[in-house]
Amino acid sequence: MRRIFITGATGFIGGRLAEVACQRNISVVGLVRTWSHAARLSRLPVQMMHGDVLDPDSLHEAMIGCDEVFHCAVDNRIGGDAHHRVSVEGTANVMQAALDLGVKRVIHLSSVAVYSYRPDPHTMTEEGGYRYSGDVYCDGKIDSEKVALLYCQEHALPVTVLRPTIVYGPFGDYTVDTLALIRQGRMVLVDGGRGVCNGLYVDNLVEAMLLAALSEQAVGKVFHISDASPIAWKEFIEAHAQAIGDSYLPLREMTTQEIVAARAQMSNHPISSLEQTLRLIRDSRARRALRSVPAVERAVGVGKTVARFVLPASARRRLRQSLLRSSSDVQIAKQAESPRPLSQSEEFMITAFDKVVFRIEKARRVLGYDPKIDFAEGMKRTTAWIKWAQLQGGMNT
Amino acid sequence: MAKKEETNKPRVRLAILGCGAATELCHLPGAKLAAEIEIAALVDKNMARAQYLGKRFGVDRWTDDYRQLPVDVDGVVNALPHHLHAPVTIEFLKQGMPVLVEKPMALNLREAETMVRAASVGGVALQVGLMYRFCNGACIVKRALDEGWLGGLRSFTVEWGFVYDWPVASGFFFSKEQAGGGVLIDLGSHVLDLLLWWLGDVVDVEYWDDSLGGVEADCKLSLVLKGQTEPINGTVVLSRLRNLKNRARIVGDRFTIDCDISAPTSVRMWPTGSDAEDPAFMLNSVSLQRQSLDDVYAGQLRAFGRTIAAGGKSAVPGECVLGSVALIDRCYRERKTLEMPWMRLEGKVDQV
Repeated sequence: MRRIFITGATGFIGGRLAEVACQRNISVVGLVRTWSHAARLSRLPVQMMHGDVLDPDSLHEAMIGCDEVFHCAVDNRIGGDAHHRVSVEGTANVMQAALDLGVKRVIHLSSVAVYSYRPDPHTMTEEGGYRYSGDVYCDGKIDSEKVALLYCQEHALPVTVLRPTIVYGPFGDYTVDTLALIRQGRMVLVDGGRGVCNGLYVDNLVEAMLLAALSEQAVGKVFHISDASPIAWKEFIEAHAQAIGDSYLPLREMTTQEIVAARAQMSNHPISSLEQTLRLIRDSRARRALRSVPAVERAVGVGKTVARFVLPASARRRLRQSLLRSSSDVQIAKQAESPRPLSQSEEFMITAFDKVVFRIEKARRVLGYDPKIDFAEGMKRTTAWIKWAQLQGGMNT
Repeated sequence: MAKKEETNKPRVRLAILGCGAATELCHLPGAKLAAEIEIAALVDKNMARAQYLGKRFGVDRWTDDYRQLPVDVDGVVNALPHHLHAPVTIEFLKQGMPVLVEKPMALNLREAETMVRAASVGGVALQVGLMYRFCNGACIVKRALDEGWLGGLRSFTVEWGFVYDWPVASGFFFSKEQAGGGVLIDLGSHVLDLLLWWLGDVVDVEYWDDSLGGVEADCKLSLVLKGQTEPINGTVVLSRLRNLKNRARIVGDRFTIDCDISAPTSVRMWPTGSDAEDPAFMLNSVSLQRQSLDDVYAGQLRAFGRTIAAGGKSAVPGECVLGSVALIDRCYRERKTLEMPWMRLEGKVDQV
């Protein structure tokens, strides 16, 4: 029986891979770093092994007896050196354990972020070069990919690298973060939303991963994985807005210059330290960066636990609502007139790779990749999940 | 938070077995508020963990062997992993030692019945840690129902769920063998106990969950309960994957009552048919004494201490919980797969 090992098994992509693999009677071992994140994975007949990509012994023990390794782990909750360490040192540990144990295939999940969020406009094949941008996620993807390919070149470890595009779908961060911006009234269509969105429904990616692990020709190669055809960012964002209610439409349109100017104008208005703090709390990427500081991460954990026990749920909801939506009555009024402009990271999120089409011919040719779920079907499934998860309104995220 | 009240009465000395999250976040903070209770020892196979909690909460004895408790202990709180609830509790009951066992009382009805028999044979107190029974909110709902405030009962709904992040220290929670199941036996032990306490025995049930071979993280029950005078229908939804409303609502002919499941004092009541959110229609008659969850746990420990000190019936005795344990057993036995609409659309069957 085919037996696979998944790092990042409690996450969005690794979790869906585990579901599909179980459905196909593939035996799955999932690496679990934090038990409290294992609820989704625990529904499956998987062997959950406690460990960490930064702990080589735990990796080695968990990987014993596995034929294939799918390395999906990344820690988006943290930033800076800690993020980079998980990406690079973690990847090296995974590759070394796979090498030591004679694993037959390793699929390293990279990203088209290796070209930065703003690659030069053109149609991109896998031969496009790395581009460091200073972004911790993008640069971490470059360095981890280099480590994986080095193990292939120098140690003959049979590694295949996949570079997925904008992965969306049930339980996905991209979906949840997009919905959050829409609900906060801060979502805009940048430059009319005409830019290219290289969307990728998560099930298409999982299909590519499972195919890649069986393709002898794929060893040592790198593949773009995207849906069959790209869409416009307007289509992606409006479909998410529709999923939570037509009342969120139409969305405002702003040019990049207008967003930059709005940010500058906001920064010219002195704001209180409380407001600064609240802005940080509201910005999901800033939250991740903040939580890279171990003391902050611990404090957040303690705070959440204490809040759950001390505050009634209704009070917690109100507190969260007020933290996320406003800091004062004045601020509410200000926001009603002019919502807080997108931060740079939020702007990148909804315009990423918008001048580029990532070609998938190589994956089609070598892997037999044939993305069957188009955007309409992908959003139909995603919308069904959004409704089930009660993400339409309120502050349920 | 209330301060521990001074008392001259001799304190009941308890040992806590298991130093996981429930002991750290629930029992020990509760014990600090209960003047009648002294935690005499902490037990955990991880001695460092027991020692750490001991130092934090002023408990100066710890051990890694529950059979080596100090001789002056009056009773034990069994907060071990679920699969150890029944065997360890029975062992203590047979020695004549009173036990407050965390929920779920046992992995199944057979175990629970054995525990009740052991308590009965030895005449020893067996209390189950269903602490919501000590919440003012849950008690006022019970009173409203018993005294007929709502009129004839029409229906009930319960939703309780949050994206799971309980700081579990080990993976037992996600093992069918060690935890007995998933969200149903976890949150459901509380919810179903409350519903049966409020609305009577089970008449019928239909149950769905999302287990694909592991433990369920989301489930739904369609329940018929005996009610005060006639059967009442309702639904229960529990989840570890989504943030739900976390409310129990019972609709009567005259009034509707709504209780925040996870908050001890949040209860609202309004005339059925009027706008629940309109304060003009709200009744303030349900004024509850302020109570934190630490207070609730303190209340649970006090009740256990009183039973030990004065004898008599436990506040939540094992036999009272057998109904909800049997219901959970039946749900697992008769389970159907919950529809996961994002995985099954237009004939595309993606489920296991």
